[in-house]
Amino acid sequence: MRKLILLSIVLLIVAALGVVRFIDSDYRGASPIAWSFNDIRHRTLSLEDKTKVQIIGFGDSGSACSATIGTNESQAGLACEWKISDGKLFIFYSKQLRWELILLAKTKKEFVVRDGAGTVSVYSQTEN
Amino acid sequence: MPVAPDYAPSLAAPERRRPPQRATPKNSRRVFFGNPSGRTLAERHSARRTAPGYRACGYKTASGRPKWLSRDPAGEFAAINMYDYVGNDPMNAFDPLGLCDADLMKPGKGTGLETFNPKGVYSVLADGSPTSIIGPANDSLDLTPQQLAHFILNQPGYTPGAPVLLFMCNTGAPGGTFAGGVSSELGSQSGVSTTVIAPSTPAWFNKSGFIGAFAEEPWNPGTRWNMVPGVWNSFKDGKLQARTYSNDEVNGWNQAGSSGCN
Repeated sequence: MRKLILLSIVLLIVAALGVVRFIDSDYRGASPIAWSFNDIRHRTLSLEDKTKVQIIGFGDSGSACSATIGTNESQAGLACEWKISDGKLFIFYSKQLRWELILLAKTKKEFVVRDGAGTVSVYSQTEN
Repeated sequence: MPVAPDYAPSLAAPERRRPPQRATPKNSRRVFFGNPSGRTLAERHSARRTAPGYRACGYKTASGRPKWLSRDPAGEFAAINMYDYVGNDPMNAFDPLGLCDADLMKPGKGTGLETFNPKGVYSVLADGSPTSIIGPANDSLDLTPQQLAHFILNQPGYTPGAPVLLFMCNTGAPGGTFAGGVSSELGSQSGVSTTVIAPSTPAWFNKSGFIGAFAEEPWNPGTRWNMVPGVWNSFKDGKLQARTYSNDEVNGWNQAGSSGCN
């Protein structure tokens, strides 16, 4: 009887840990939100990462955007093009698709996105 | 193979200290189970080290306009009022050390470009591609070679005919048309044949001011300067010239320059 109670307690703890872990697991269950031009208009998106640098700047209109790519040590500035299609944000360089960003969550300060490879990232956003 | 120089001391102001955050059930749990972004809540919400584009400015006025505490190191070359910051127009240009304002990059892009100041050529910085670049200010609109040539010729520090260095990714690619177009337009608009030098590959910069054309794709950057070097092509009257420049040559100009854009 005592073993059964202990086993039940252990199972309960494991289940609770699993629930908490699921909630914290990069918006796994989040439904995509459609990007709109107002989300990026006059905004700069900066990837929150300790080593990688991705800063994407959008303007008032048009299809061009600037992108600074690289690491904390070395960076390059690129003239890119963007497009919103089917609610996804696509960024091209030299006519080649470089990013496909699916919006999972947004706040006044951050965007949570999933790229085409399924990696979830957080971009801080600031007004230009 | 270029050698990674030591980094210059950071010009950024010390990070603003935030009061210690008390452990709450929420953030304790996040720390214990791991934060999806890999950063603590305090890190996620801490203030930026510096305001974008105002890296080396002394202080800001009550209205937020950046001002220098001392004379612009570019001296009379830059402006008559040497206490101005980018002509009192920080929305349209940024000038981390006050040395050069022929800079079309957006504020906040300045990591390593504080010391980019080549001597003997007129340098223009912008985000680039083989066929287009991003214009100044925040409009994020493409600039054509014709518009860039017009912009350069209207800069007070530019003398028609002086060679121009485009620090813009891939603008000097042999198959691209941008740098060739700029040289053609500079020649036709000023009446003087002008040499335009531009990288054949992405143009990289690092924290110590070392710049270079390197073939590595920016989307997969190495952590050191061990990438395959590209070349800087030269164009005149719209035509690709035989003379190319190495990264060392271009950095030689950069190290030589200490004031002004030319």
